[in-house]
Amino acid sequence: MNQKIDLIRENNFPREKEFTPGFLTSLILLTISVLLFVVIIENEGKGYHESRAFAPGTPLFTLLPAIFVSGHTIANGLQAFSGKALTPANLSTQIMTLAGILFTYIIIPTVFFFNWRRRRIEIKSVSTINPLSFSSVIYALSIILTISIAATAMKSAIMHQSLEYAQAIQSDRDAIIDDLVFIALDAYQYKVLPKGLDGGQGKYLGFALAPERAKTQNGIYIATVNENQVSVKAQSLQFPSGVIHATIDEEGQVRNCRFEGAFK
Amino acid sequence: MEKTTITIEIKQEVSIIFIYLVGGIILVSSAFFIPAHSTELWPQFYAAGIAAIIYLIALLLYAVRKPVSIKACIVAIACFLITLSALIFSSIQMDKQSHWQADKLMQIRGTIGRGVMMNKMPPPLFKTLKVFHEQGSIKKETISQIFQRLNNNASVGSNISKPIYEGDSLKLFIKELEPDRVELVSQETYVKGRNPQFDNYNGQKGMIQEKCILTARGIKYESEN
Repeated sequence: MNQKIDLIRENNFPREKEFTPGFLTSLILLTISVLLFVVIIENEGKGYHESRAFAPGTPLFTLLPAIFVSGHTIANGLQAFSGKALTPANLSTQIMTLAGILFTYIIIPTVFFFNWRRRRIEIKSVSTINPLSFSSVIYALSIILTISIAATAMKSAIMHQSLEYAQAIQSDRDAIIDDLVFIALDAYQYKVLPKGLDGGQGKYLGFALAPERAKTQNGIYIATVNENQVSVKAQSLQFPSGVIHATIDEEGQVRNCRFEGAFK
Repeated sequence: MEKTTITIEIKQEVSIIFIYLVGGIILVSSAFFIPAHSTELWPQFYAAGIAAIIYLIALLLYAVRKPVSIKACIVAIACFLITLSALIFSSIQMDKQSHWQADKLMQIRGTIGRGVMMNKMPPPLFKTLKVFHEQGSIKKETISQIFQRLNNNASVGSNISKPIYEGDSLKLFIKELEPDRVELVSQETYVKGRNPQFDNYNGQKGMIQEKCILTARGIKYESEN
């Protein structure tokens, strides 16, 4: 492409003639769209994990189109959770994802780089650039959006770490509750069995945790026994501040769970 | 009157913006719809992403060419690389995270399933054990007789679980019924267990299955898969 066409530029050259009328209209529309998107993103920024992107069929525009794709993967996870067949993304999700990609990867960088280049050339040739001109506003907006994209991307990476940590605590808590259920079954069995079979003959008195139940890969367990109930204190090995106090009632059911520390 | 010579004709520049925009949109949209339809959206996303990166490199090379200064070029390239890296990194993170969350959901489903099984399997067995030992030293009924009496004369292969809500699919099958021994199995129909080759009681393969064995000495729990 031969673009080397010399242009004589004079000081009184009218600046508004830089753009064709059609181009100006396009840019105005683009600005309005950008402002609209910024407002939406502002609302979405309250926490993308809670955003509608995770509910199938209700997509929301975002500077990170990967959110739609993640939302679809999780929606499929929920389908599998309920025993339903996995489905391809619906057309609206696909279109919103594509729109996000086009906006983030094509439109913003194109507007930004062309404006940037023109300003670099103008700085060399003409020292007066009106900061309130239309092109300056567009340029500033594209810079803000570019920074927002980078910031949102970094924020999402940090959120992933915290989510993984929270999930690890929850999984550990569930595993300890599972261990407590097995302790309750052992205790109740002890209560039901006669003395001749090393049981408690209708009472919990004398029940002690088997070594494999007193310490598991999840935690350490201490049982306090009285006639009709067993109190158990469970302490997590992975998150030592995480403690669960529970009671095993007369029927062998785990009751009154009290969570402390990391499990609160 | 000051005269300056520049090498870009503004109207041509505007046309080039449109050519770039239209070209980029066509390139990325085509790439997005190339991968075959699957239940995943990630292949489409990555195809479009690769096309977008090619486009962005072309755009960057166009923007930083002369007469833009070297210093400005370096700053622009650095900013471009930082933003692009953040986008790529966050996309990969979200891919991993969403799959991790979907996997977690199934793990949670498995934990719930096992929990429900361990909640529903022992009570009928404990009831039997209690009645059996309440007979004293002289046993009039065997374990299996008591179990059958308490469970509507259920036989091997019967499901003794009574649904407690609409859609309650939990089944407790009697696998073995001997005078001194009762075996109950419970399995999931769509939640995979540890071993994909495990043969489930109902003929499926690889699903979660738990077993309880009742004898006079008590109940033994086996997490079969």
